Amino acid sequence: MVELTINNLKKSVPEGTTILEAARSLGIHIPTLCHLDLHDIKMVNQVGTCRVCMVEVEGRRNLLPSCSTTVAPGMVIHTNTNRAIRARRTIVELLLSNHPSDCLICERNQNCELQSLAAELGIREIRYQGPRLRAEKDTSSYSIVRNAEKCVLCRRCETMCNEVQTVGVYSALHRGFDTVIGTAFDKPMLDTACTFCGQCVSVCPTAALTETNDSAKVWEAISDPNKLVIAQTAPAVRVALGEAFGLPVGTRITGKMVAALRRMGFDKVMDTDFAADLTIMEEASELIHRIQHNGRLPILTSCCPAWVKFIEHQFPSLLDIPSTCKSPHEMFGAIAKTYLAEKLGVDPEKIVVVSIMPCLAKKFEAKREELSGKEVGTNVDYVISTRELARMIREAGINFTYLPDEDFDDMMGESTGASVIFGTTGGVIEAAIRTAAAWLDKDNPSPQIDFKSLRGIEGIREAEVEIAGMKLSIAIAHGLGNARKLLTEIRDGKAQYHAIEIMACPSGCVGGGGQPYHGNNIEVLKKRAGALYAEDESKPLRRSHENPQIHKLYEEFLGEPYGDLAHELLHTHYHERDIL
Amino acid sequence: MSSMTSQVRIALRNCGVIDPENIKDYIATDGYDALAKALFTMTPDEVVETVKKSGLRGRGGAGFPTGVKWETARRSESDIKYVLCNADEGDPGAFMDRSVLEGDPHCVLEAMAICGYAIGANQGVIYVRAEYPLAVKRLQIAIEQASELGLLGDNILGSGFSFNLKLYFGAGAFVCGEETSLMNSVQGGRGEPRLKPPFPAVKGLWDKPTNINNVETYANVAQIIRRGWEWFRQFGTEKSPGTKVFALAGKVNNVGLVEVPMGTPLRTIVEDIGGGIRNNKKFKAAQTGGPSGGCIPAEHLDTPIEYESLIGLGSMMGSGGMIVLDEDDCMVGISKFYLTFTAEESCGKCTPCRIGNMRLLEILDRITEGNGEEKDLDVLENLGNTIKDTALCGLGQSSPNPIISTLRYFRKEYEEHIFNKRCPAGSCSKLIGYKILPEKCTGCTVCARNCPVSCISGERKQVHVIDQERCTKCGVCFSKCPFKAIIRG
Amino acid sequence: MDKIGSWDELKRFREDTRKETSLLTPDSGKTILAVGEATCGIAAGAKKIAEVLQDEIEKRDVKNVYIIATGCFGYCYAEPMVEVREPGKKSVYYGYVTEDTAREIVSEHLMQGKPLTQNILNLEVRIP
Repeated sequence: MVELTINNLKKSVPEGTTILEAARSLGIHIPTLCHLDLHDIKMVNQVGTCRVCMVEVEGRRNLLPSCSTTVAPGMVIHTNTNRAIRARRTIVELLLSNHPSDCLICERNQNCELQSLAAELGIREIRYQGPRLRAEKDTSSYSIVRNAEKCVLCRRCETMCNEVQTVGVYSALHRGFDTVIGTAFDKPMLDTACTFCGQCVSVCPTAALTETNDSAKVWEAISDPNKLVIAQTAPAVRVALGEAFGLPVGTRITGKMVAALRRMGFDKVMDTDFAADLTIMEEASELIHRIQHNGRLPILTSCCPAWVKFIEHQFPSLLDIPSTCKSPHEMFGAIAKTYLAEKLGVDPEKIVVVSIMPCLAKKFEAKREELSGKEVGTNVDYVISTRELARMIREAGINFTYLPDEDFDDMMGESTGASVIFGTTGGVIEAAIRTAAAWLDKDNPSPQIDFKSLRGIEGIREAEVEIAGMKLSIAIAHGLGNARKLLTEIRDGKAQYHAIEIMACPSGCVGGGGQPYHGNNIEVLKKRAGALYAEDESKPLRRSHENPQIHKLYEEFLGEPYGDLAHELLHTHYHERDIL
Repeated sequence: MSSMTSQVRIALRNCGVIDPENIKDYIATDGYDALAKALFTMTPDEVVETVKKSGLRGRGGAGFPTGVKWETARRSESDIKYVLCNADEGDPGAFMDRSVLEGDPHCVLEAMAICGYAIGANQGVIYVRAEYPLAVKRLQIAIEQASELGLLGDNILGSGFSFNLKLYFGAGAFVCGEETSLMNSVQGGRGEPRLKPPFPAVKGLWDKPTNINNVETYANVAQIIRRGWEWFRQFGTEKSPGTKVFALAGKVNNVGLVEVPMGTPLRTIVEDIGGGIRNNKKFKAAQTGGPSGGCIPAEHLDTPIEYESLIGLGSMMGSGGMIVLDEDDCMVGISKFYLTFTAEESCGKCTPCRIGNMRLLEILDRITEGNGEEKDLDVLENLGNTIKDTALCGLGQSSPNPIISTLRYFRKEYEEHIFNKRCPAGSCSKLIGYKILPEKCTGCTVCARNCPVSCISGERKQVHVIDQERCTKCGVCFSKCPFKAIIRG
Repeated sequence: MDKIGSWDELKRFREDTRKETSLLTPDSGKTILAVGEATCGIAAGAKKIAEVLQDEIEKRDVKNVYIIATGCFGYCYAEPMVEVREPGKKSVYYGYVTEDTAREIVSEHLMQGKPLTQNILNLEVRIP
């Protein structure tokens, strides 16, 4: 333990503690900007670049950054002296002098860490004036917009992309005042190895990184009388959207969300969860098929588009192991424009499928050429993130918290508990195992439902599940850095599994790049995941194959799971991509 | 010609004496004797102790005690440690390290091997500027010859100690002279400083304990080991023992490399060794410490030069650049010159250095263009001090020094620019103009013919006129007029 | 060259070098012309001066004189520089050396033992 004094308060803290942590343990607030410590997902940005958290330490010539200075025995620290406060103000004024003053029309207005900091420090004038850095916006990708003019060079995106996700898209370019965070050779984002997981957007303190905004296109479609616009909502949206309207973290607002979408003017409000059940039918069939026919193992889940792009860039030699199943919302689109169109007697050309996703990579996925068959056209027309949906609800003047609970529309609105947990790490594989267990263990009247060994927050988890006397070895990874570790072992033949679930975002889709900002608090993600498991338990049906509408779909249209038509509509293929 | 007796050469002892491309010359002048002495008669602790007692301080800028660095690195436990040499000399006008490398490369190699033995490292890296091709070549030859004779490599002189050296070429970023940026650069990363602590001696190159000193510091080591710390301490002062090499440049008659004992008055360097100011102009200031340093005015010419005294004067030792300024040099312009340099060379990592220096530079620009305002002086001072107080590395923490020191000694000159829109030194082109005196002009046409923008008109043998609208104030006419008919003001 | 295997061998190597091959010390019995060939000297034309010196020595067949390239003398203002080291005598330093001066150094100083009256720098540094 180290004894120290902060603002005349004595405290003893463990060795290695930073001044910032020590101050917080005493209830002393020190403003920060670049600092971000989400150690549960190994996202620790301690680069000390912004110099906002400077404090005075007796005996030291200069002010010290509290976020990255570890305490020393007998240290005497002052966090609120005139010198420290003036320095902080100057730093923030400098940042503002190089920042567009368009807060009123900025994507991050009222949700911006720089804005909050300026407010907190009571900045009323910017004493330092001069030209700002000018840079072109990068709108090349379908998912992420980069605006270097709003960048404060906190380097969080770099840490997230390079160290946590190990994708390595970002790095500082140029020097001095011209320094920007950019891609290798200044390539447009679309041409990089970016997976569009959007985790950089999740941690960006300003509007330097934002999602591509597709809401105008959706409004356009809704207002077109010749279109039948169908909304489908991913599981993780219903446990996070409420946060945008001030509801407690972890509140399940499924019914209000459905009501809101109807009031916005969507012709049909349906559920991606339905398609998640469909995915399980296909994926569990594929798993059993591979096991029984000595096929390639392990099978890797393919629901996560960022993860799919990651393996295409980083592990092209392993492209034969992911499941060929399309992701649930793409399956939804394929079914909506065939089966549903027929049922409703609507020309598929007139159907517009809008996916509401916690994800930014889904925007890119929807543009993949291999995902639009000749018969059905584009599976999914538009993808909007949870954040965009929240904005659209506001735009529409809907008072969200007062909405009644409503149910999804028939046919493709019914879902089981298995599909709900797709939204959190371990959920997809648990859903698949539930169905596989029931199918393989036909004599067992009550096969196991909850596989709690598959749940948790550890970055890489392994479990062995016994089904009908057969031991299945399962691995789960979330966060692409963890995925890389696991895949490297598989590539090098060091690990053997039957099935692996991988989600690009830490914690899975609840922590997706399109979700409401978690405010740098990882507990938020845990509460969202908890809400998903609660929703699962509240459902009468908790195994995908028990979904009556899925049964009907196979009976009336698809035929056998993993059969010919299913292959045509519900499966896809992967191709190698350059690493740079 | 001037007398040079005030010079004492330790670091430069072999420069201009031996053939740097022939190891035999170095050995003949007792080269590698210190290494042998250390290996066969001293324990690593004794080597560290000797360097500590010698009081040798880092010659690269901050003057940190070298022995203390070595001791920390020795105490850090690790399977691998490194010895690094910072040969990324980058201050404008400084070339001490280049001269040592070009004139006596082996003294650096020998010192690094001694350091390796002392701290328990078997690998060394010299980070040298690629823009020093001759230094690079001579280092390569030196390493080759020393390896051939077994003075580097495995089992040196049969002692059982092994030490291997590699060169790494810097690409000319000033910030890579900062030790942690240098290490990032060697590792193939962006040249950006790391947070300290941990210091390199604990966690340096490839996160291993690393001792890093600059060229001139190493150049003293062999002599200290060979002749003892007491010998070294007879030169220089109590707090700053030994000698210091300066690259004397600017308006003195004798520019060149100077090595004097610490404590030598500035006046000795400028007047005796430097031979006074060129063209009988008046001494105005000596700029020491490069972009991190400041300007020392005439009233402090008798100050003995050592680390602390220079800091007391608002300047610093730096790596040893010394630029002498005369009455024609504008002090605002000098600040602007250095700040332009640091703003450009800032790595951009921390806010105060990245944005703050740019804002300071813009103010200096305005002042030298005649658009300065009264509040600018306060802003320069306050912002400058905050940058010093908050920047991440030594570059930013010292970048406002040229402004702050000139404000301290030459505030009036700033005020002239701001309030009277005048540059007293006649050097800020926006604040001066050229005029032809009709009574002196003979119509010789020299000015018109030499004017690069052809803005001077007049018939032969008629009075000429400068078109003030088009004049770029380059001053060519002023210096070419054979009749002194052109005035500046 | 063979590796030097011990401190004693190093000492012997040094003695041999001093006696036989070193161009440095007066006891080698040789006359040395040291040309300052650091970057500063080269920029001022030292390479050409060294060539002229070599040429002149060969042309005039002066024996026992060797030219070495050395580092910076420290007097950059006076480059190119040549130092004349003769056995048993104090070194003479020439600054601002032109091709003509270089030829004179050989013909006057070396051949006739008369140091030039021009271009001599009175340089005193202590090498302790």
